[in-house]
Amino acid sequence: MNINQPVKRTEFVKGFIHSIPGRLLSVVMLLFLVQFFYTTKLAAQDKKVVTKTGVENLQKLTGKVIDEKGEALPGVTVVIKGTSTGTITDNNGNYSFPKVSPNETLVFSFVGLQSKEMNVGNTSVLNVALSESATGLNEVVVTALNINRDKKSLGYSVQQVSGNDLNIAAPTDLATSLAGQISGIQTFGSASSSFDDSQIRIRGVNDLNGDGPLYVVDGTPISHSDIDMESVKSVSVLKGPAAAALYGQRASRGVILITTKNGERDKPFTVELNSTVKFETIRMLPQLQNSYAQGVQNADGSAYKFPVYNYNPSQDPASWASQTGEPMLDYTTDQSWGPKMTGQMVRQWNSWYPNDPNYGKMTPLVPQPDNVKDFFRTGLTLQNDVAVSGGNDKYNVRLAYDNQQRTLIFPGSERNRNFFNIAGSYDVNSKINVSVNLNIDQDHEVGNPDNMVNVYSTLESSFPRQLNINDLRNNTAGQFRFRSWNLQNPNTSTADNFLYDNQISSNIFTEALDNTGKSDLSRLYGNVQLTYKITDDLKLEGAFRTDYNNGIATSQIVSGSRPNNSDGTSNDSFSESYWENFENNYELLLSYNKKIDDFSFSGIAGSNIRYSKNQNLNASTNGGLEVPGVYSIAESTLKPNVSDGYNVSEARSLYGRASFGYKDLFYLDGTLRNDWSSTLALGNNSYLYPSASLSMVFSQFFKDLVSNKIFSFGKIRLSAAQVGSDMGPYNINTTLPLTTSYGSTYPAQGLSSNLLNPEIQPTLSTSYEGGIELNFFNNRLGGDFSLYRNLNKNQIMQMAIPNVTGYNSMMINAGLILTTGFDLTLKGVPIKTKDVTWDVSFNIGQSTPMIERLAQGQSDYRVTWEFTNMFVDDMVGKEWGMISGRKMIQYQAYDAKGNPIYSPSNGKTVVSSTGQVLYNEDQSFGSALPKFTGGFATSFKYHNFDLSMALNFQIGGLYFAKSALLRDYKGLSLKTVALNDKGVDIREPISAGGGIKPANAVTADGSPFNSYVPAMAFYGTYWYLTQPYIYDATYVKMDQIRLGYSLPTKWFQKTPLKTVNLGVVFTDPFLIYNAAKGSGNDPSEADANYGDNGQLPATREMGFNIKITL
Amino acid sequence: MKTSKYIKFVLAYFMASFMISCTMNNFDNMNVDPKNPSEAIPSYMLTNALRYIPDNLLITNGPQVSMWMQYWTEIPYVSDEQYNMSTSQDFPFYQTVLVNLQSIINQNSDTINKASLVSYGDNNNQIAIARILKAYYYLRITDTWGDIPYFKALQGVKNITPSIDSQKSIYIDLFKEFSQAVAQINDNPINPIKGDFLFNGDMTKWKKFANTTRLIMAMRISNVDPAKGDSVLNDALNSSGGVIESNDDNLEYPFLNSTEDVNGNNYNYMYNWNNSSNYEYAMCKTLIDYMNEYSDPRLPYYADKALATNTYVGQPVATIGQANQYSQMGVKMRQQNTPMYIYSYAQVLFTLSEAVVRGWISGDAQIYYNEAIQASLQQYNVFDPATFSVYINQPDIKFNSTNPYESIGNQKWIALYPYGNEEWAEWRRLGYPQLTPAPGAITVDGQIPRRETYGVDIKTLMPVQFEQDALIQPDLTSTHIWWDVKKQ
Repeated sequence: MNINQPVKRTEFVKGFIHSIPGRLLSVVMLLFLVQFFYTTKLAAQDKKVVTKTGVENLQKLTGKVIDEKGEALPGVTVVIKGTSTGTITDNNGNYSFPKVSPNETLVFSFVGLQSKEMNVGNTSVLNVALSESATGLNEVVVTALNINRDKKSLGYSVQQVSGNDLNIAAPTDLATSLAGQISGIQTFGSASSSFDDSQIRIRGVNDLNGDGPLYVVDGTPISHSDIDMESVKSVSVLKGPAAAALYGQRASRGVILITTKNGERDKPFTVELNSTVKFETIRMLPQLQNSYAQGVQNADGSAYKFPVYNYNPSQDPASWASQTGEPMLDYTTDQSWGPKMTGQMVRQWNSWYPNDPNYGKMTPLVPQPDNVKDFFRTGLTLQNDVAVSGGNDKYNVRLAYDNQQRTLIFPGSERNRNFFNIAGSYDVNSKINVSVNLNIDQDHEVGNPDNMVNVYSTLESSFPRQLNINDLRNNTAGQFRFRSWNLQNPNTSTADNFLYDNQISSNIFTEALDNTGKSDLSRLYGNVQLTYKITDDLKLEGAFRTDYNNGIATSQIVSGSRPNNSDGTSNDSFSESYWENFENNYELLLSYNKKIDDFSFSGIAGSNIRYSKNQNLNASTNGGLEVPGVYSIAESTLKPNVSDGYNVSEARSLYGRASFGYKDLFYLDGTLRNDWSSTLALGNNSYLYPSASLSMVFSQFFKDLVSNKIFSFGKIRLSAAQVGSDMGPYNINTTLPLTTSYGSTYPAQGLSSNLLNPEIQPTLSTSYEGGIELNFFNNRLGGDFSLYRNLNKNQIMQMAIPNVTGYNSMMINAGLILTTGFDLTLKGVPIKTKDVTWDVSFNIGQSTPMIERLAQGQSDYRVTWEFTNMFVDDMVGKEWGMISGRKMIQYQAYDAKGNPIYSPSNGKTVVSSTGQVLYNEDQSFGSALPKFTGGFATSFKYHNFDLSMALNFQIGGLYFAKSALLRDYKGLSLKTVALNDKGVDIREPISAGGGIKPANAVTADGSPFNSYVPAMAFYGTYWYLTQPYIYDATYVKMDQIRLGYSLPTKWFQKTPLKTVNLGVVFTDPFLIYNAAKGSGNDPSEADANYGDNGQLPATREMGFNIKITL
Repeated sequence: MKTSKYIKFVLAYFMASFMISCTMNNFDNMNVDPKNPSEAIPSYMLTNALRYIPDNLLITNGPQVSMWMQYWTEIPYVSDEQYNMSTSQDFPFYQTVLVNLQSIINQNSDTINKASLVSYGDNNNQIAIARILKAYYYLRITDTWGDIPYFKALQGVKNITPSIDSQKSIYIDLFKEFSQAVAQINDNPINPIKGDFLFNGDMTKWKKFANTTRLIMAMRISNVDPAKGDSVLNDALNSSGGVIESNDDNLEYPFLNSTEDVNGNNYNYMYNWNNSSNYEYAMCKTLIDYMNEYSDPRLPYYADKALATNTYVGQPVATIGQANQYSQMGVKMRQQNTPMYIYSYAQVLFTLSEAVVRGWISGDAQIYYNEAIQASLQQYNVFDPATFSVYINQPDIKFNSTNPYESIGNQKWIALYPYGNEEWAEWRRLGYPQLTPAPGAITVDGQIPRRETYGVDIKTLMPVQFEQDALIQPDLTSTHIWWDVKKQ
């Protein structure tokens, strides 16, 4: 591809249309539209026929629907069978049809109750009672391969939550909505103020790197968790390999199955409108000192002296001559160890810019306590969606459109997303059904804060306290929109140089508003499925599933805005990436169900081909742009840097399941799956794995107890399963990539640093699980408890090996991770009366992933490196994810033979002769993983009011706060302005009684250290330490709150409105408890697997929501 | 019914795409990486290995050893000058260079396939160059850490925890590698070496490279095994090709300018560090003060005057400063394409002067010493007989026959600027110049390191070898390596 001619968007669109998913999409859309209009027309014709034949004796019909206790049931759907004509019962359970033929049959249905069909006959009043299912608990859950199964028949743990329970406060992110709702999961990894979705861990970690679960939408595996939450009907979490065995290799870390909403058969078309507006504000900011300005302390701890301007006629404008002798700040540093701010008149940074109102003036040096806070704005989320759904006895369909606009608290960060969801199913005849489920997601982002991390980390850890944020925002004249406060020294540079060559930090507004990144992402995922009913017991299904995305991302740097580019210049630049990724699944599934007397049997046999392809092209300019302000790769001054990527892989599978049941009492399940993977070498690429599970509904033995409604249901379950996994493509033969050439005539090449290995075998994870489910008091109180033990052996890992072997890492099968733990869910309905319903649920999970073994002779597998010498390690005999780093040395005295002896100095901190804290490297502090995770959710209904909330908690785990370290180092934290043991400000000169005497410190020989160290020198050594910045990550966080009110239906009986609900919603409103308060961050939003890696601030959202049904 | 037509169409499409996806993709060949070569081209591998020579000269963990030797200071930071070593810093070169050189040796030793490689150069000459370079890189690693994995290293999966070998045994083997490589060289090859941008396949220069390295190594063991040093030094001098015999023989690493190297990957490192818009390092006060005091003619070449004062001012060790207050690296030394010296004639002459002092060769130590200084001035085009004579006759500069190591140590320090790695070895061996450790030094003894501590790689990935094999104990910066036995 000629790089001077960037790919045009139209070509991309064309490419998409000609791709398999593109073609399929167009065919399906066409089919869908034709089908939709055709059937609607048919339905209309049906209606006409009805009207015609019924002319003689059409009659008015009214009635009331009640439950078993005789209480009115509002919201029951009443439909004339075979049509889409129907209605919904009002708050008093009443319904009415103005005209209906006596030949018709009415279908009454309501979630959780058994549907009922009634002939109209010649009556004009038809009252109906709907009953709950006879056996007490007939919960149907979605299981692997999207098969709905009776929960009591399952021998493994599946937990399902309905979309309503998840979307309490209209969250836009799946993990936020799941937080606290499912036992044994942990959500982490993203700040509330970013666009990113959090990550989810199910039952701790199962592999060395702690990767996340598989996401499946309506049976289609997807590579992301970006879902339109408004279209989610339910989420089912398959926690262990037994539940997920049929998903094969990617399911070893659990599966999150998302079922989207669809139209329902025999339901009149309804329109749902849902609109939310939310305002987002900062919830937590680190506390900063407000006494000392930009600058550095003198190394000897003597008193601070302002640098003074000296006019230099050879380089300065003549008008500056009179300014000689004016005190300045040390503009060159980004540290805050400068002068105490007492309102002294000084030349601040903006006084050097000719167009600034303060040009040439001295201004008082005063703290700006809110300068960080005032950078941010109030964020706004607008979410509007509309859905149309309905169906008759032949088809059901739902069309939805959701628009989400979000502006973050960061100036310049905006996202606009459009989701389209089309779902439907149509019986072509009594044998053949076709169904479609397609999701389209278009996402346009500007200024993703992830790419602006240096903006926030500047504010958080190197933003001097005298800076007025409005001065920075308003300084717009000249070559750049916004200029930096981090200037060169006016005494030693020409005016041009010192104004334009900033030292370390550029203006944060330039970063936010000028050096912008943009991205456009288009996603299409979903499936088309054909079902052929061979007999009543036997059916064949074929499905095509795709998860396709393509996108463009660009970023730019404005000329001169950022100092110290890697090539030593501050050129402007532009980079652009295109990518196209997809995974297609082709599935055939034969299923059989049979019930003879007390025995039931169901079985499936299936095959699957999964083909995935990832391709990308990246280019960036080099040496600046030819025409400033024209951001194009073609404008590159030097030859642009270009890279591309491509990989394909395929896995073919055969699988089956057989299930036997006896009398609703015993259930036995077995599965078997064989995979063939293209990424493993021939001979190692086929692997077979089984699972078995048993469920026994033992409450059947206690019929007396069940009948008196104390003990409602009891079940125990046992399961064992294996899941095999392969690895990414191109990992069996070592390559020799080209390396940096010498000029243009000497190409260079070297062995890849990762030693590959054709002997790699598939990984096997084996799990055992046992559980018990108990329900009491007519199912008003229930509990579900699981114990599990997962063994993950022969992990395929890129093991770090000493580079003296010639390689940095090698692919191996090694290791054993043993994860044990439990999950517990408790649910109750403490109050259920005619007017009041109160539901509560509580869950807690514990998991301990122990690294039992790594490769032979290996004791440590490094998961994460951090520049401050903090690491995350997997260490043999310890829990996954040990945080390690530099620990202060504690003194221990020894006798001449080297035996430890008593000394009053034992246990004290050892410092060098100059008072610098000494440390040992690579000392473990403990695991980053929490001991327990869990949550609590409740909803309360009183008449038309509803109140719901969900919280989640984490107990234990460590949090490393890198930004707190930087704040100490740069003199921004409160600690750096404290008083010393003499009661003198630690920043005062040593001679004036200032400085820090390290507490309880001794020198290497054990003698007490009694000198005072200048504050900056003391905290300068903290740069090297990990220990002071390790926090306990325990927290309790309120995730969502909603207070809603449903308007009485009588208010709008004459209108097309059916229901109207108004709500006030809160997302992430507050932390109830935060053990890591000192870090200045919210540990529930840790952006790295060890804690804070330049963490974006935590925010809360408050808003209003209105839901209307037509 | 009309709809069934569409259904059939979809069904047919399904079946077709299902079949296409099954047949079009060849399952077995799918796993071949289309974007990276799987074959080694020896000339490309050689180019890659040569490109790390500037690292060997200046870098271990950034140019920090040049700061330890108080040539430079980092302008806005102090930690490198206070001997902070990043623990993630492990041995250099093994993975980037040495394994590739080993691959050249292996390929050209393969009796069946080596004939196919002669188009890249005579098999023996390819092997000889690879051996010389391998030994050259290993020398730097062992001089920095002491005992290192050597004999069992570079074997990939065959030995992922190679033993740590004693520096003594490594030195013996390196002597052998250099002499055997020189003996192996074919002076009249039919096929010249390809990929050699350093010497353009000039095998005489490769011999001088090998022999000069051996000469310097011989002197390095003078305190621990003078007899061996004596014999190796004389052997190197008399070996085929000899050592550097004039400034014309100086072995230089060529850098490229922006027209030759559009992506700027092959600029002089000093240009990358200090150019018009970026100043990371300033000249150190220790060096500038010393050169100022004796009006060293090399000063204008080594350093620029500070912009603020228009004088030569060095930044004190371990202080935070501003670029304009202090002298920068000399502008002539930091052009994009100013070459770096791998070995210079001055370096050889200093070694010969000391060899006379030690009685290893005959001659006049003072004459060699004066010639060495003269060669150093000529190397940088700042020689003028009158100035030289004034300079050389200052009492502190003049060859001190009662303590010749002081004269040689101090002058080598100047002549080896800015090559901190090489000077660090000389400083440890000779004990001169006498440098004051940085204020706030974080080493346990507060002194300038005698070695670097092992990286975390060794400690965590081969803990058994770290505990058992390394003779260097304890693993501290204050521990002396094998040849660093006593200061003169």
